[in-house]
Amino acid sequence: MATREAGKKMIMLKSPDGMEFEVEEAVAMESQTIRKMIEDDCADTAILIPNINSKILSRVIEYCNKHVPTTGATGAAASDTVAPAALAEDLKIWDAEFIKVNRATRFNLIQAASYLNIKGLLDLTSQTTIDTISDNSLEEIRSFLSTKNDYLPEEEQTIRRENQWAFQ
Amino acid sequence: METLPDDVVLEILVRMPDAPHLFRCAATCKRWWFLVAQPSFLRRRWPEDTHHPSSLLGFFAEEYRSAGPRSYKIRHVPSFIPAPSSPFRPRSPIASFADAGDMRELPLASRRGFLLVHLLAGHHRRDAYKEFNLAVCDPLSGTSRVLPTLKYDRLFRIKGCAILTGCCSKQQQQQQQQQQQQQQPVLSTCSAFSKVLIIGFDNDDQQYSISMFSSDESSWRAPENCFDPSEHGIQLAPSQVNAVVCQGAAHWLFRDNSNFYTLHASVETGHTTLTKLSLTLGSLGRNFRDVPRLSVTNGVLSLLALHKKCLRAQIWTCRGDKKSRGCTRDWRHTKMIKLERPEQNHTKIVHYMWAGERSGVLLIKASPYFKQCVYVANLQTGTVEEVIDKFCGECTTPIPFEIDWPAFFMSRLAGDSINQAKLGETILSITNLLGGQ
Repeated sequence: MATREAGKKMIMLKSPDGMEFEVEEAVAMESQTIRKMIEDDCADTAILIPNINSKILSRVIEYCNKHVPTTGATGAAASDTVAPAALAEDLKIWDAEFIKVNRATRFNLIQAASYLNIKGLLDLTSQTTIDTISDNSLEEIRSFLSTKNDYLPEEEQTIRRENQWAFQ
Repeated sequence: METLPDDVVLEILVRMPDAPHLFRCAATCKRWWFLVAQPSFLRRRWPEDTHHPSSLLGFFAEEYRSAGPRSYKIRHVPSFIPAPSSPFRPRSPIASFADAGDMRELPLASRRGFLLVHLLAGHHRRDAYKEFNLAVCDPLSGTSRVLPTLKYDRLFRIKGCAILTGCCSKQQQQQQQQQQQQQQPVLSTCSAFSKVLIIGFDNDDQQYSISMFSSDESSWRAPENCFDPSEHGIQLAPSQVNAVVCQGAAHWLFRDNSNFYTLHASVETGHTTLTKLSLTLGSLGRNFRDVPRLSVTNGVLSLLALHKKCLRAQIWTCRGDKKSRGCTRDWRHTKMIKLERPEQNHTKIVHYMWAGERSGVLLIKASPYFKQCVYVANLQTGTVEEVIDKFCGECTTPIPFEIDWPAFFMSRLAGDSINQAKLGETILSITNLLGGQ
């Protein structure tokens, strides 16, 4: 089982480049993947998070720290010192600030959120990407997502001709 | 150049705001095309058990059009009118049918991307016929299939229709559920129509009968009587032409002076049963406008009624035991939806009402004061939008046209222009190789 420190369960997360992060269990459990590992008792020592480097992992932990429901030392429900609406507004501003990262980092974050199964982070990162590309032309989408157009010009013409509804 | 892993791409794609955006993304490169074409992805984007208002593409109604620039001959053609948020435009390729020559094409009913039209020789429409020439059209691909002539020995009227697709039958549903459990969703079977059911009415005999055509047979099955008129002394009248299909049966609503009945036709056999509803006209009260309509809510048969001033809609769902068919089923009030009208004019008469099976949208054709309007109400949000007033005046009953987006995407993306399966495999193996390095 996880180590105990000052009344709070702590979990050790390890990135493939050797960095270790000690986080509260509640924070780590924002990730459904880690939650499952803990619940299945697979988290006796440090949990290795594959494919996510320390830079991205630290950002993910930063996100989880902010979004974990605030709990008292006894693990009771959140205190209502702050109105929920104000709290949500505060989180929104924080999220907007958090996602101001370059394209590569954002894609890494989507990948990490997808692997760790953190719905809020996944929604935030993917939605930001969509907001950027949704009204762009095919060419702009391709260049933004660095995909290569591998259609022959005739093929692309056929697709466009047969599916005018999508290209209006 | 970096390549985005599939899971990242899928997370982005599944959040695309609408179908055109998603389709454009599929057109950016072949790998994305392959990712979008996966049935599991499409079902994740448009879950089966939820309503998707964007499924309502628009309406078909009859229009008069001259046959050519120098011709005085007028053709009656089904004209397409898009719904407010539809990606399709009027007269876009959607309305191109197989040429029916001098035939008049009268849209009768529509379901899951198919339109049933009555082909009429000559311009005059009579009330009853001995022979019906019908065709099932797929307006999106521009194809149609003319069915064998439906013949009766006496004059008949069409009072109800149902277009069934492959995924309607119980057997299919069970197969699908099994496959879903094995995590292999299938969709391809939905993209073809399998059966057409017609409820005919004989004026002389006061008798309703059902005729069935299966796409794998070459003729109509002999009509079967729906119910014995002597058992129901008071005359029953049907309340909606287009059937609601769910739980392995097609359902139509009938009424007499005080009661409602549902006529169920088994999707497998076409055998019918008539069930009296526990809900009566009296119990609905005076606050309701017009007769309610049958609909589907979360895959269950439901009944929808509109309040007098069209400001509220009420929904009852059928809680009946499927096994005890034939007995009175229990209908319970489950939901009340407040409708937000764009303008507060009082609706005087509701001419027509229809509830979408896939879209969860309520269509109301009504006349406030002297002007006729068609409204589209979103039953999830309660918002009401006005559709362009093309249906007004001489226009006949609009036939709402809904599609199942996953089935539509499957049919579009599995096209011949790209050999999708082979290509997908190759691309995936290449990306896996690259990703592994």
